[in-house]
Amino acid sequence: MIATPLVLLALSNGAPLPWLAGPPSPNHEWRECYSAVVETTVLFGDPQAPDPAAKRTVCHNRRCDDELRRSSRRFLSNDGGRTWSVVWEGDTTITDSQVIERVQGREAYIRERDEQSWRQAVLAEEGGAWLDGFLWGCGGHSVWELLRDWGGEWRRDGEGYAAECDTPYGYLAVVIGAAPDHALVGYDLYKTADSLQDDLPLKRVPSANPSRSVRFTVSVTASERCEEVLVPSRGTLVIESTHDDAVVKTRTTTAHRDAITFIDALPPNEFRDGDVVVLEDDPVLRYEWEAGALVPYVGATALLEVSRLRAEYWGTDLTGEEALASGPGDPNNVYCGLYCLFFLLPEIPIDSFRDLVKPDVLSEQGGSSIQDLVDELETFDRHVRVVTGAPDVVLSALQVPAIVHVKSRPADAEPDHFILLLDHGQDSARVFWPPSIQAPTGRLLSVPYGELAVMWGGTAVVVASDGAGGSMTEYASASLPWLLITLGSAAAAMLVCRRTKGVLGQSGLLIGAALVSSGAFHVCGTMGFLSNDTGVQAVVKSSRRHFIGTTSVNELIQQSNTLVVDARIRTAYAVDRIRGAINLPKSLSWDERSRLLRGVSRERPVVVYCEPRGCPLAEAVASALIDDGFQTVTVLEGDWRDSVLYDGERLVQ
Amino acid sequence: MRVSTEHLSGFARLVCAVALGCAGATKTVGPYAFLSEVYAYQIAGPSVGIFLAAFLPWFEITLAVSLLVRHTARTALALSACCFGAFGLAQLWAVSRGLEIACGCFGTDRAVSPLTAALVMALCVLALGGFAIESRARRSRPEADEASWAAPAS
Repeated sequence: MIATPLVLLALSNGAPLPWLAGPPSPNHEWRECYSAVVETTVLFGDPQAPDPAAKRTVCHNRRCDDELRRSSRRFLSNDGGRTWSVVWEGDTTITDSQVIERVQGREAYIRERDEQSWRQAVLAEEGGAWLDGFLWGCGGHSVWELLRDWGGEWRRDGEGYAAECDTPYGYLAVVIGAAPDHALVGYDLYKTADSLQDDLPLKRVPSANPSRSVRFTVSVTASERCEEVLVPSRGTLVIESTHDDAVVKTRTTTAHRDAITFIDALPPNEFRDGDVVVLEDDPVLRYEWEAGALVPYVGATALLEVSRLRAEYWGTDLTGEEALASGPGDPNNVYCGLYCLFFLLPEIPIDSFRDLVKPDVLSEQGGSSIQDLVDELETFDRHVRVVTGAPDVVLSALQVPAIVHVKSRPADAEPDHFILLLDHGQDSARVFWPPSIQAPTGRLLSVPYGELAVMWGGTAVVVASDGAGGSMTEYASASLPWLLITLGSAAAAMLVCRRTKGVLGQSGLLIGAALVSSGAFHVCGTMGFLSNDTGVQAVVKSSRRHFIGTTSVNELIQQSNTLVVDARIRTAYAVDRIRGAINLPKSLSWDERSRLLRGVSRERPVVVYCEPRGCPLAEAVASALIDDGFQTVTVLEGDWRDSVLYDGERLVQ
Repeated sequence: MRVSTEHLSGFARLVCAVALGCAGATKTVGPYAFLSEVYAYQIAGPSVGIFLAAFLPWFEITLAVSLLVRHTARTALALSACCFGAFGLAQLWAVSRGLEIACGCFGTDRAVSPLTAALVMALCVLALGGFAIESRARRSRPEADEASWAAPAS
């Protein structure tokens, strides 16, 4: 650590700021560290209207739309105290069709993860409400309900969207198309999918919201100015402070968490008025420095640019509110390969991160493929070797650095995320977890091999320092000692067996030999169960859905705090149900389920039921609830329709 | 005709040894993946599952070695038959419950379904049974014992 004089700041109290378009200066820059992801709320109607319904939020993005930026002024304001605001103000004209375009742009993502939000967005537009209306001859259900309950999925169809599904009332086909001042909607029921007609009768629905001018204000506030962290280049992290308690104050912000952790590790008296702390060339802290300097930049600044470019290529913006509400899936997984590449290629300047954002590197809708990463690394003259189908023990023998393909969550079926293996410890690996919207600074973690093995899919891109190394032959040697121990113990057992008569005695010896080998591996081995308990716990946790127990009807009656969940479709739930049960059909999306279970403690026991016999829905919903984090989930066994009295009343409602 | 039976017997023993050896080796290098597969069968609880995942691979390798060694071949034969029988029952259990899981017989390969694996296990048990019958017959003919373990002339 070296202390150098204070770097002059570009900010001053209340001074108006110039536009910050374009990349920041490579030598000296100040950056907003409030949050580069800002709220954009566009209100249609009069915000001061007494009727709350008149204040309808149509667009509520987590980033500033370019069209708003272009027509707005931005300045920094200070309330005279410690509250600072970056404010965008301006006037623009937004038509419903523009809003719809934005909705359509996010359709692919929304359809997958957040259909409820898209539904609400479409309902808010012209024609959408029509789909939510009562549908004659279909048991009183609306089109939306039928599509949801019977597996109808929206797909792009020309300028609009279409969905089909097989329902008990017939084969349902629905189309919706939006225009600036009207919408075209239509549906029909057919006997079978084969009898589907192309000329679906369409109905023109006038727009409920004609084009209008809106005045908007976007503001982001921070409790203090955050000029402590500057990133002049990739090689030095400059931390400056104007107060002795800078560490304390910085901790109150949400950005630069890794840098804050880093600062926190330093003696507080290192910070004085006018000091600049430069941290460099420390081999132990090198990664800490990189995580602190690089990741905030990428997470807070380049993320917007990446998102914008990605939206240009694919019409899908993953930084919207829907992404934040999408639950456990990490929407930034699509950029994880990019971040790993950027981390691995120091010759790419920080402000050139956007150069990596191109279809060659993001060839798939879900992000980068293995081949993308390999091609790009080879472009920069790196020796790359791809390891596929490798077993767990290879993980501890992988040559570093390596881009490792892992599952976002252990319970996921297939790997969908890239992380960077930086270093090997005794029984854990140091990995860089790329930033996401939820954690914009990324994470530098020390992950036990066992835990990593649970998430690993057996594929990694090893960046060898030269042409040699990283071959499967080398990795096979990682398990060779243990196989030799097994063979040795087996051979020893054979020798003893020569003097042992009888099958039972020999069986005992063979089992003993296996126990010795197994014990040696799991006690002493890096990947052993006993030496890597967190890995075992991770497997047990991810496999909890396999251990779903049962609860009898009598036990259920005696439990008072249990949440009872009906896994059947809504129509069956409407006919009869256990008193107090909530309806969570299997077809519900994660978002809908989260909304219905908002505020319910994950510690609360849950009992799931469906039809008494031959109904697999309960176990499926129970698995989903376990994945949601509920600790105690069981399935009801027995016929709950029996005439059982419950607290003086019938159990069945 | 007798030489042919010995050939078959030796071949069955070799096949079973190789199968057990490969199965054990792939599981030992992927212990956590195998633990997940064990849990997916929904037969064993957390503790029993850990024990099975820790013990079975090494036991399979030990049995494979034993099958190749003359002195303990009969014991290994009996234990292997028990193992294959248990594995087959586990596969049938998975099939009967409609579990959409991988066999887990050779690590985490998803190409082998439980039904296929059950059939293979049944074949292995049959092969081991044939080997046992032949071995018993050989015991009744001590003079042929040496020849039965010698490599058959091609």
